[in-house]
Amino acid sequence: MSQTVAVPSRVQPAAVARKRRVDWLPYLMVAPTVVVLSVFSLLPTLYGAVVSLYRVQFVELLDFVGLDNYVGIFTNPEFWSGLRVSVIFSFFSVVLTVAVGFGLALLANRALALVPTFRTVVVMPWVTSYVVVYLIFKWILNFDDGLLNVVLYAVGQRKVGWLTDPFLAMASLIVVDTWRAAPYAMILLLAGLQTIPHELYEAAATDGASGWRSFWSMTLPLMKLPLTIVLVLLTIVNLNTLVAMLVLTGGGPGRATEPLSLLMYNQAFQYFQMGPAASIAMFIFALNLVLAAGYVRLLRSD
Amino acid sequence: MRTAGISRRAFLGALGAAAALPLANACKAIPIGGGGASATSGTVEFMAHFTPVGTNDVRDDASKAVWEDFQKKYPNITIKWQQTAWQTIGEKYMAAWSAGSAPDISLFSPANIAPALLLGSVEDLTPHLNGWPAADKEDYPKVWWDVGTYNGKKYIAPLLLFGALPIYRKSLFQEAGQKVDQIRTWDDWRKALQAIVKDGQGRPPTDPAFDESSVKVWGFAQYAARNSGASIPYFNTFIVERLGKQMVEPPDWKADRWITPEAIDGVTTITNWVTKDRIQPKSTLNMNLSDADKFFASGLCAAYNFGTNTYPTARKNMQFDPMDAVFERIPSPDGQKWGPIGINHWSMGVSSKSKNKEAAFTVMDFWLTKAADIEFAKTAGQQPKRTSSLSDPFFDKPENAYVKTFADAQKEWAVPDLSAPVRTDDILLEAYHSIITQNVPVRDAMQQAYDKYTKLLSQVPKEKLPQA
Repeated sequence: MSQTVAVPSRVQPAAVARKRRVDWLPYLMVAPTVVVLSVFSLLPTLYGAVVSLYRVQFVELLDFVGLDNYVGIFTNPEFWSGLRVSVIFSFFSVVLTVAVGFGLALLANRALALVPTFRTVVVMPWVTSYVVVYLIFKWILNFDDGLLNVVLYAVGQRKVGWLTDPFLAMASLIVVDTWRAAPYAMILLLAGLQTIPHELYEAAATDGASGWRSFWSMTLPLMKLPLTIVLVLLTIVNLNTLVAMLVLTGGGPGRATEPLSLLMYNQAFQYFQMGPAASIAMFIFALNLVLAAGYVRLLRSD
Repeated sequence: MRTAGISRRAFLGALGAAAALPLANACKAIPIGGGGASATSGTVEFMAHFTPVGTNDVRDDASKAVWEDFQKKYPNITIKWQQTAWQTIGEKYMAAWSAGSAPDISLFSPANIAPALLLGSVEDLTPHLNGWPAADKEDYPKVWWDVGTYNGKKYIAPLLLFGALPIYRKSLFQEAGQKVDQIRTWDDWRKALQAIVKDGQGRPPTDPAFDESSVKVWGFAQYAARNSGASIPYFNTFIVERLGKQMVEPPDWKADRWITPEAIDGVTTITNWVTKDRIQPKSTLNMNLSDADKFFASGLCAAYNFGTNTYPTARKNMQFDPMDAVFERIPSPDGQKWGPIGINHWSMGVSSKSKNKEAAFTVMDFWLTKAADIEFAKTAGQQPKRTSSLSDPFFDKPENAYVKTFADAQKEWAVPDLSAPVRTDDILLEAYHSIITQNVPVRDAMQQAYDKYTKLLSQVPKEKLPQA
């Protein structure tokens, strides 16, 4: 038995042409961003990947050496010391920044008279130039005549080597970075807090839930996604931090505060070892890529 | 019929001669003395950390005065100034050169010359300098000619040639029963400084109960922060004094002397100033040059190691009578003779890719005239480079007498800071930090520094190693 297949009526050629006409407007709209990202981000990254495979004299590629530069950095104890510093700095700085930022966001989310002023004042460390912030703290933490030690000495305490003791130098960097970055976390988390309907809190209060209980059972679960996003974003930022160390400690004392980013900088601009420097850059890039993939996945899951 | 007027041929001939005259003048080498304006024209980009557009350094003021004179003399040459930080000037120059946008002239320090040379980014100045008048050539001391000369070719022309000498606050030493002109050995130095330092309870550093956190005036300070351009203070001086050679030098640039018993002993002495003798604060490990200059100028230490490059700016900010701070000669191990003065410099180099080399040479020559030399000495307190400049009565005034102390030291035993193919400063400083803050044995720390330097040096092709 033969089957009959319904054949659609022949479409007019003019309609097909209309359908196939490409709408260029969206492409044009995104083109400037794509061009800028390609020129200033994508191409340098690709070039960095190429450089990491060569023996280089400043920026001139001499010989292809395959993975030698990577082998070189992975067998260099300075690399592992830098990675350790990066991880310690990023971990403690991110945890503290999120904790402080969340606390500030909870305060700023309350309907109190001085909240607008509070928000403005709190954001100031974030909008001030990084270098200025770190230079101010370099003076505050100075051993001999820094503000902190002058106050400590005035109240009968011993002066502390905030930037000259290896442990304290790292702790100081983390605290200063937290002070500077907490407002950023606050802004992002405040946006998250403001999406939680107020009625939920009213209902919980009617049912006799305490403030702590509401926070633990409602606020925290509902803030899980914004908190995770902030954690990921801050981790990416902190893994790339360079200015803080360059201004406050120079990576010292010794190598106590020399993260991978500063090691890369020194390889490139102290010793003109562009190949190994590019390999470190690629390693940091890979770390960022993993974190960024997690970030995108989180956004999609939302 | 003959006319009384000029013939066409004669007119054209005269016109040609008139036109050729300035051209011929322009082709002549421009005398360094600044005589005669040249027809050279164009724009010259000049990168430096002190420029006429800078505002926080007396050297900016001197540059401005020289620039004003230059503009009057060479209205056809425009100088575009690029002010930048001294710590990164070499990297910026090399990156710009690689990108084809290097300034025509840049300042170079010993940290930058050899790397820039390896890149082929600096023009050989020898043919141009050969055209200088003999009087100008002779007016510059040998050290000026030695600096930046590799394989017989001179690549850079020092604009500032400065040594560093110990400076002492005389009154503090007198109060402690010490005389600054009797500090001849490094042992004298340590004892004199220990006599000055007292904690809040009046205890000296030799007292086991000495409290570092309550010291008001330290003995000595020196910038020693990582990534600040610092190295181990006086390390090269100790090496030269004890071994008679520099810490690295041509032809092989090897650092094997860093791990000799003399070097280990020297570094032990130097690090002891912080750890055992307690005449130098640990806070110096976090000081850059400007911090350390201010530390001394604020009256927080009794002795310092000033170069004439930054001393005049610091002198303006001294919180005590500047005449109380006197320069003396460098101690030595046995005190038989004074220690060697290291000659540092900021020098002009011309880009090998400069499209306007003649104009760049004209600018460079003008900054090397005697008038400019005197201007930098008088306005910015710099040590003059030309021998003849020193006879200016300006240097007979008591407040400027330090210049002659430097000149005397330089005449007696000068050691030019060499530009190594691998930067040594931060490698040595890492060792210094690890000895002081992590109690790493001096021998181990110096061995690590040696290994790191040697590994980096091995990556420079032997045929490219700069030779004297």
